[in-house]
Amino acid sequence: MDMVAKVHVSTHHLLPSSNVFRPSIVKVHGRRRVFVQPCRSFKSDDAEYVKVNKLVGAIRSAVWSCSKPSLRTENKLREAMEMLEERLFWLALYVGRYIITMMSTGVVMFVGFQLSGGDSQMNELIWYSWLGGIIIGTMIGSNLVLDEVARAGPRNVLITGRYNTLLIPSLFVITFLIIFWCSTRGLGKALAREFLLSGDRVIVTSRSPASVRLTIEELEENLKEAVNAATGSARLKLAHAKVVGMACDVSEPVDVKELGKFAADELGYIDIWVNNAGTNKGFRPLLEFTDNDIQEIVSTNLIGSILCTKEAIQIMKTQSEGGHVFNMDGAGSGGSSTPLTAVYGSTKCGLRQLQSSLLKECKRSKVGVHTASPGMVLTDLLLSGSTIQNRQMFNIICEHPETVARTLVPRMRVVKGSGRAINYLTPPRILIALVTAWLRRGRWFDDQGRALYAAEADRLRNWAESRTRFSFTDAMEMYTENTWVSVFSLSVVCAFIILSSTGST
Amino acid sequence: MAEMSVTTASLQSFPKSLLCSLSTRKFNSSFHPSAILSPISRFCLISKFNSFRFSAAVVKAASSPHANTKEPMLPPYDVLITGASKGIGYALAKEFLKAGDNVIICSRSDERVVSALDRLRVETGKQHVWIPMQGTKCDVREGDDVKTLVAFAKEKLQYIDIWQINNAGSNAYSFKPLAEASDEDLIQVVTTNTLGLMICCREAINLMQNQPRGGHIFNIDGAGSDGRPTPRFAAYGATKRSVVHLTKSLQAELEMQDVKNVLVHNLSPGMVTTDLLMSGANTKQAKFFINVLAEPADVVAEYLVPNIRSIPTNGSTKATYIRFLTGLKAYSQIFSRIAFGARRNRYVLED
Repeated sequence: MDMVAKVHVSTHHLLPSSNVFRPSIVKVHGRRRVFVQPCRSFKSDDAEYVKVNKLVGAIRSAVWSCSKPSLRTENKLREAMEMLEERLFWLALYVGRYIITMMSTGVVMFVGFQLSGGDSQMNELIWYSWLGGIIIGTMIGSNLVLDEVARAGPRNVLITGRYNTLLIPSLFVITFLIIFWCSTRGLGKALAREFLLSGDRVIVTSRSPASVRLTIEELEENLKEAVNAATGSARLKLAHAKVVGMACDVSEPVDVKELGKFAADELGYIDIWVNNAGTNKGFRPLLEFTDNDIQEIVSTNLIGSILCTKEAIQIMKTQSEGGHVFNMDGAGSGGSSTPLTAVYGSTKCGLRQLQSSLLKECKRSKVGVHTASPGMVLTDLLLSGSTIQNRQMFNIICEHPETVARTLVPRMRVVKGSGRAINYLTPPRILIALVTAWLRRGRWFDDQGRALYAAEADRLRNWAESRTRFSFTDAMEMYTENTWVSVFSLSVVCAFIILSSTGST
Repeated sequence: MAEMSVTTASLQSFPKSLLCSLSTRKFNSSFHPSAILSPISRFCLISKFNSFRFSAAVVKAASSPHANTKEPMLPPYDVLITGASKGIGYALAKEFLKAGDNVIICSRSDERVVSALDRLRVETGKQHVWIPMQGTKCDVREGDDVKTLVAFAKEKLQYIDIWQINNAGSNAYSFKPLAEASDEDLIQVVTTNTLGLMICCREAINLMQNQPRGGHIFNIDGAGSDGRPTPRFAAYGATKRSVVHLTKSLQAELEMQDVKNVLVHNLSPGMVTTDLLMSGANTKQAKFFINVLAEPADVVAEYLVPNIRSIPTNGSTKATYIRFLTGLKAYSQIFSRIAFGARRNRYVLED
């Protein structure tokens, strides 16, 4: 038996959602196709069932290879053990997540019971609200998941400003306000890649024709690899995927018009338009910005976004199904001051207001206006000029653009209605990052501030193996987040009722 | 998802004063390594480091000769108002003149600014008002124009105490959904309101931090600056929102640089019955609110100018946000309109 085995072992992946390690996936191509890959589609119970089956299979093969002397080769044993480990890890992860969710709801319930003071009617109420919370949360979560499955067709996506240079979200981290800056050279690219590998048709734009060409080449290469690696339905899904692009200066009305026309010719229909173009010219007081700097920042960030949004809305209004426009958030979007990047911050702040106005203007149309906030993204520009201490902080909260894109894109694809905010750094994530700050110390940089992570190309290779389009993990995350929300809100209602009733008696 | 994002937003919109006080303290407080106790406090320390990085870049700007030698600012004040050929800018100029201050006005169009100058001289009977070099326009979007303006002001008045950045005036006089607005209008709105204002702010700070008397910059806000939606003039609202944010950032920046003699304030005239507002009075809702809330420019200026002048008079060193139309006032006016029908058809006829 010819055993041509090509083993990719990806070792060090991080889940976007938490600090938990994503299990490495072992793929063995060859005559004996041992094909272990994360479940591609998620159908509530089926997935769990398949997973359990896989787990059993893994255990069986491990035991088998241990017991049968003829198969007991060093390699195969290790392989089998790795597989087993990975499966167990997965199972533990899911169980752990459920336990955490349930525990938190349990805590709320316990507090409720304490407050009710043994009143049976009150206790009943608490039980109902708990149950209601779980049910609502599950429904919201599964709705999102089913929606993704149902609308599985390719989307046409247009992303402006592949080379956007800087996004500096400031976020409130429970204890202190810290202004984070981050550069996302390549966030646009990561988003485009993610859309592309979801089987969408993507248009990328950038100011310089050369970089557009380079990006397209790179993305096509990625797509080809993905198609080669995919099988069955996954390959079918990727059949429509393609990437095209054109150079476009978003602050030039003529260019933007041209872009709209190009998109209409090339795709015929635009589902999602992502305004990712944004720029900043370094961190310094306003006095040290030249006229050209200010003009460039304003024209790219504010004029560019306004013109692109306008063009997008115009196009989408004529489409039968409407469409969705996304504007990227940055530092200052929330209204917090951004010293040393005053110009950038104020443009981003203005965009948030624009978003709310557009929401009203587009109320009756089928066009959805949304914001997406990538959080902190680890890129070269972020690191230029950062000190060792900064880097220690980046360990805690930063992520690779791929990780961020991986979280944002599935949510952007299923977005409905209008006025949604798709954030990477949600409160649970911030909380997790803070709680696990100690564990995250040496994540990207060591004590001397040296980078520990792989270059983009290597990272992508690893990602290619661990990527799942819409994985069970994502589904789980949606489930838990929503359950949390509903459980807590219901428990607040319940606590209110209890308190008011105890006060009166 | 929606619920989650709401919480994020509320997290971000935490009182800003807290931030400001924190950011200043960061500089003055000495760093104790022993304070590393928990991940949380470690995190805070890192944020301190974070600002140390900034301080290096900042010292240079702060070390201006007069940064800390403060001379009291005495009336008559030297006032510069951009975009003062009409509307609220003109009314403010008139009020300042009446109060006896020296005023420099400028505008994008030469004829308008010349005629404004003549009218001001006639109406107030005072002569101490100038325009920078007769026959030359001053486009605030051009850095060179603003520099010329500053040079002229320096030559004429030596100092500028109060700089009113007043280019609220651009909405291209069109009220329609963004999708129908013309590109040229949009670009004009953004460049005048945002770019022009930024350049003016930069030049003003540059000039004022070298003045022994320091100076006050007033940025004029507008609809949308509180973050509330402004449908039908989305671009204008976005620019005004960014103006308020810029003011806030500049306040934080100046505090970081330890510049104490330059203050950046916000000025909110509320709704003023200028051409700009009136050109939007074509829906029922707009007419209602114009009648109920708007005031003529003169009334607004009469209220604002004494308030502005009291800031240098009291030697206040706190950044302020002077509002003509406060929330309470607005609500009481709306109430009296609904309850007693007051102010109906005041400026425009309602159906």
